[in-house]
Amino acid sequence: MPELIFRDFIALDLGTALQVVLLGFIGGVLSGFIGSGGAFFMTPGMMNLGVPGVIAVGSNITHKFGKALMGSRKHGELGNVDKKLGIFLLATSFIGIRLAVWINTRLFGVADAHGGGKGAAADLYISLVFVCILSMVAISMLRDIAKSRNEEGPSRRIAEALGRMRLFPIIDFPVSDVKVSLWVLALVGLATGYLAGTIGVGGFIGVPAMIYVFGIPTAVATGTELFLAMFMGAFGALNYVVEGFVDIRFVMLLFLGSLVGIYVGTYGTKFVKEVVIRLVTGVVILLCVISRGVAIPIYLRQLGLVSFDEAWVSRLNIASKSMLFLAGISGVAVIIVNVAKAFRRRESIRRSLAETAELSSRNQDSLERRR
Amino acid sequence: MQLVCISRGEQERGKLFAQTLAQKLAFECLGQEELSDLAIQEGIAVGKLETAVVKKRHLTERQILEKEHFLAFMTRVLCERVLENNLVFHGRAGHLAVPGLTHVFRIRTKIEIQTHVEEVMRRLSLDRSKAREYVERVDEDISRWVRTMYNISGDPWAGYDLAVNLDRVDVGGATTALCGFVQLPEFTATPFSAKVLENLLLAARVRIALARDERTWAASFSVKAEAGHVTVSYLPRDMAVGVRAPGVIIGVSGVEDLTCTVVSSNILWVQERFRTVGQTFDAVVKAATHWHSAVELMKLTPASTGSSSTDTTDRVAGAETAQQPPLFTLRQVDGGVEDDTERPTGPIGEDADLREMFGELNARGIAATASRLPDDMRRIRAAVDRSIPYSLVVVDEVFLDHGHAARIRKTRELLGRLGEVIRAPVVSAEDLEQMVHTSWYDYVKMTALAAVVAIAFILVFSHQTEILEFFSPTTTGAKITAALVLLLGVPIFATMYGTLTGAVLRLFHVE
Repeated sequence: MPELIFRDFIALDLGTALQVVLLGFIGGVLSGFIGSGGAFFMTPGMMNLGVPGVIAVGSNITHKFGKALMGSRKHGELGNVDKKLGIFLLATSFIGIRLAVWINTRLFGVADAHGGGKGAAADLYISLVFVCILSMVAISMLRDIAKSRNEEGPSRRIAEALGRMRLFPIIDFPVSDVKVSLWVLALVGLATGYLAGTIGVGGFIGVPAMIYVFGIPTAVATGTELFLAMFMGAFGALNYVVEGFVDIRFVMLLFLGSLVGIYVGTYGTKFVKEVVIRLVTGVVILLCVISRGVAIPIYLRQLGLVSFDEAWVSRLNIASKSMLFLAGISGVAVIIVNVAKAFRRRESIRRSLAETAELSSRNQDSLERRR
Repeated sequence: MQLVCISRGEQERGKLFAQTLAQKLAFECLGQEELSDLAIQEGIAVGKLETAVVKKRHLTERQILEKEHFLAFMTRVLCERVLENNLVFHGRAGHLAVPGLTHVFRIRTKIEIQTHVEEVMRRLSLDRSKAREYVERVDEDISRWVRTMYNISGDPWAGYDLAVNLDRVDVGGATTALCGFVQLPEFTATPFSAKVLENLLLAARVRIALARDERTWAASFSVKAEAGHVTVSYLPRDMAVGVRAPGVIIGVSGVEDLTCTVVSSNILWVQERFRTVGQTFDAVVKAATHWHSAVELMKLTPASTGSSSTDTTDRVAGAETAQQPPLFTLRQVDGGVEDDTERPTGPIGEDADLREMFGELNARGIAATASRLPDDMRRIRAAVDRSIPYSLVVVDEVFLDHGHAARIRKTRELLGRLGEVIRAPVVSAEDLEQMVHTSWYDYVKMTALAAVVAIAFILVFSHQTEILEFFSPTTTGAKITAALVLLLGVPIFATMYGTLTGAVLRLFHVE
């Protein structure tokens, strides 16, 4: 157990602080690269450092709020934000967030019969939700890649089935060019808010839901999700801070890495094919899920539900942490290697063009002199 | 060499109208369905492409390549047939497949929805409500197809020369009347339009060759041709495949020279006189290099000068191979009726600056195209190709023959008008210099931001317990204060640090 500095907040030494910056950087690169939040990497990463799950989620959602503010502005300028859709989704997402914060806060207070294992129930609950949701996301992402090899785009089967059901009232969204039932909107908003509040990951549900369930274009889904994330992040941060679950030091350290990482990741999309982007994302998420799954026995032991030797606790923690960093660093390496390769190729093309121009000008000069 | 394009949707009467018109004019007749059959024979998965568009699916990379292949194929078929004979094409906005061809007669046929519904009820044996639903859905699908295939954001049914309501006039009468229309000089081919057709045909052949070859089929290419000089551009992510393009294109007949550029987007540079030295040139080159963009030059000529008094549009396309210096050709367009005389090539006259600038950009591998236009707002707006992904528009030194106040007003108006048609920042040269050059002010701003961020870190990390205590409120007042500080502080910190990061990374060319 790490040393505590105040209540449930852990003490930070230089090594831990640098690890948090690295978490932010990797999360930022992946976030810029795939256009999602990056919380799928940062939340479990903080938990691996010994931060209670509730504080990890609270700090992450606060970090997400500041980050989405910047991204949403850019997408807004490009016309990729369907504000009407965003507002409809926001209404129920707030209920979802409030519900999630309430559950997390209550579970945080649960301890074993001897008063030990405080926070373990919340950690277990967060980890279980994380594993269930993100394994579905990773599998469907990888399946989608396999399908796209057969020239299929995102399926609209769900959107079409819901469209046929005509669940009134139906709302028209001209920016996204779709018509969606108010009930479906309410459900998706609730689910997105609940997951954002529980594990800090809302985009992985919000974006696919918008694409597959509503049938809206990918660019608009991403832009609208960032618009949503800004308000959901603000509301989530507000809810967690009044409960005392936001570690502002972690928020600042995450920003330190993530805002650099986002630029690198976004730059990488220029050089890497879409299918590779999705493949890297799918594999990284899957590894993050496995890493979190490895940590689950630790929380079960803390709650007294299973028993094993204490030496295994640190082994499992190291395994989980190593796997997470391995996944993140490998993903980032793929991006950076591709960027470097593209740079080298471009420079060689530019050099050959410059040499050709020089040769041409020399030929012309000698031709004119002969004349 | 005349071309009549009829957009008739799925209407049977529209088809009959097109066939009757072709028969009366003794033109060849080609329908969308026959064209699709030919495309399928070419190996293009037209059905899957149509399904993806109709079902509003996000086009996969493979489908985007199929789309490029299909468009090139369509252009090739239309150009080949028009060069051989006169043609009536009927289907979906065929004129958009031959951009730049000004003598196309664009007709749209329409019928009232009730008539269309009855036609569908008869043809498909459907009841009225189902037939109406079918008609509405098909119309919507066709609009989506046109928007997706040609990257049109507005009304796909806008921009026609004539709309014929087949409910009001009968096919026989309407086609007889239109026979006279087709003979108008605006719709008559000239030797110049033959050159435009040849250019379109060459570009289409090159694109098809790239799509057919196993070395290059997997990359997205944009191809332009001008009198045998071909410019091929591709995205940075396709560089590994793109470098193989010259090997494929060399085998295409009609290609004399070739320029290959790697671009993510275009920068449109609008100016009256181009100079290859100076701050604007440096700023444009720097921006294009950093953003992997190609520079498109648009030279404006004062409306008062003789050269532009007749609405001229000259286009320069350059090409360069390993052995030869850049070559230039010009073509002149004169409103509805083109001037067929080709201008002399070589660095003389008023285009010398344009040539020199194009050559400089070409040598750096960042040249796209160059054109000359009169400084008329309507013409400038019309000349912008909306399908090109622009990242920036730079306007500098325009309306120079106007007084100071009028120049400023007109420049501002031009910036606004261009902003309406191009979804990219439209900036003046001064703004661009500020964007790409790091001035002393920027360094001061970066230092100030870095100082504020550092102070924030020092304050937080030197008072960790107090800060954590502040953000763990117990009373209602403390909760409200903590929430307000968080909601204000986090975005301010994120914006300051984000701005600082962006500025620092820009110094390392990561934008």
